[in-house]
Amino acid sequence: MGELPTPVADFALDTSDGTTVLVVTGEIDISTAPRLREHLQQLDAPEVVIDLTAMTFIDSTGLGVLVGAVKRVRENGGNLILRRPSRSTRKVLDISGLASMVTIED
Amino acid sequence: MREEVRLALPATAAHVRLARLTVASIAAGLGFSLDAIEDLRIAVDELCYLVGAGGRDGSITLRFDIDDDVLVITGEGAARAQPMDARRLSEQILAATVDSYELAGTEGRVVCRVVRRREAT
Repeated sequence: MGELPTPVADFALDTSDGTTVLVVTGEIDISTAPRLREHLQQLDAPEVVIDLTAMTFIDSTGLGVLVGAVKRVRENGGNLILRRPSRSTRKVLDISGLASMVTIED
Repeated sequence: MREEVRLALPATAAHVRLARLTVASIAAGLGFSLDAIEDLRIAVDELCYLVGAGGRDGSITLRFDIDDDVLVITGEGAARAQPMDARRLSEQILAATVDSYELAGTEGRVVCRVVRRREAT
């Protein structure tokens, strides 16, 4: 009882080209943001790419996780890149100020 | 034409997406643009958070008041301790995704009301 059965977010790590890329699929909200945080905390590369091509939604809780990841990567002298956010994702990145803290690849 | 849709949800995190699905369906039916529908999905998600979604128990209620070119969404739930930064960001997002919003709390309850008009075509 309680939880909806269908997962609405998925995460995959791709290091095939030598860059650490976390591919995010689906919706990042108050329900799935903790899983995004777990995946990001496991990454210790100086440069991390988060591929948002297939991410269809993000809210303030997801943005909060990304802000935490930016701070952690920066403290280690690294860089966080957000790849191909959707137009609505780009909008909330701008609203939150996160767009000015990271590199965004369109 | 005035219509009203009511939705009662457990306040647990997993059910917030039902609110997003509902508002997307209603807004599409009203002929809102795709960008406006995306804005409303984001707005109703933040509204749910502000009225207590994400807790372990309790419930939230949403009422969608539908008119020809305007959608008013009123959410109500039990007040829940939330980090101030997170609340501030939710309100910033609301301000940018709807035409107006109001947030009020009294006696342990929180009510949030947002208004979004359909753009003239």
